[in-house]
Amino acid sequence: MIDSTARPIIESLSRDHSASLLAWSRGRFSDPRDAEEVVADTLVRAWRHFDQYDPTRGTERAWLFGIARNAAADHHRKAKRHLRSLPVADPADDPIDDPDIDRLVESSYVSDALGALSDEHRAAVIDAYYNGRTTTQIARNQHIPPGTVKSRLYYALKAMRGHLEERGVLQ
Amino acid sequence: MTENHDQFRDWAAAYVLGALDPVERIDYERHLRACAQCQTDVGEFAALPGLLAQVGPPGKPEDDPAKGRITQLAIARANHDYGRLSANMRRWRLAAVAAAAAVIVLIVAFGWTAVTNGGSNDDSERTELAFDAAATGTIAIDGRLWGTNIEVNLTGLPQRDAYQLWAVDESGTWIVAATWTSTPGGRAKVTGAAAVDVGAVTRVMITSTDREDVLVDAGP
Repeated sequence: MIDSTARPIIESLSRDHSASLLAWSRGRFSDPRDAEEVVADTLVRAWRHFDQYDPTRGTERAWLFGIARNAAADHHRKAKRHLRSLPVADPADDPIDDPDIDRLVESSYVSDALGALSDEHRAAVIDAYYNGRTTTQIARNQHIPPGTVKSRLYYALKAMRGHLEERGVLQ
Repeated sequence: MTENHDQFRDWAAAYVLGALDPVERIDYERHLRACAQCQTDVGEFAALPGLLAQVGPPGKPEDDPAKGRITQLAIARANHDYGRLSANMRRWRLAAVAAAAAVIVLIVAFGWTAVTNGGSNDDSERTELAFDAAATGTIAIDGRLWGTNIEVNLTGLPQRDAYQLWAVDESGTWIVAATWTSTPGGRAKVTGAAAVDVGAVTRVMITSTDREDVLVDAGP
């Protein structure tokens, strides 16, 4: 039996959140297939319980991370039960109960905001913030005026701020 | 707004990120003391370095093929009993490992009336499946003594290194029916054999070794 709500809901959730869920899941499972299976499982569970999502209790992404946490725990338990020798993280070292899902969700939104920038803007932010270069150095490396570098940084942070405001990370 | 605001108009981001030269920083801070607009800008950007510190320097965002794969897997699971698919995932994984590559799923939409399986080779029991895909042609199944015969006669399949034909039964088990390598024009004239009663076949799927978006949605 096909449930006609499955495809649109799952595709929509995946479009908005699967990259973040996958990044998190890959950090918890050495085998990438396990990481992918946990994310797929998360999407299915989210679809099944979609009517239970309460926006007043938190963002959709936070809700999904909560589901993902449980899906990962179940996956670990299944692995132990079947005595598979997959190189998964030892549950004792990886308590599954992430202490701060809000922080996790926040970080994922910041990654999204960076990813949403144009290549030029993102490169400017990376060079200035992560590589510690001054606008003069960046301008010299890229053969552009320093004013252009400052301007790119300005519009990059404006865009990121807007992105994060929309998602409630910033007010 | 101070009269030389234009000169410092978009310096706030570079300042907050620590990217101004020392001399520029001093000039900007002097300007900042008297410029409400720049103070507002700096205030708006102040939280960003801390947030950027939470995430590493990102690579260029690219379409991760795993996303499409995961989405289609989730949809397939949602459309079947989830629990029964766990066994199929292991089988599918083994096949994927054997193929030494990721898998693309082309789900072929179809509709058919149930075919009673008398184990006959009679062509009159051959059921042609309807599908909605980039590919054109026919896919037909018929029941045999040994299971289900699947005739694929398509052109326009997206070019891939190799393809696999699957029959999916009502418990959600995927049964490989045929494999073949790429052909010009995406042509596939292939006969598959699946050890499953034709009445129990719920889907026919074509997979290749490249993972792409599903071309068509399937369902009885």
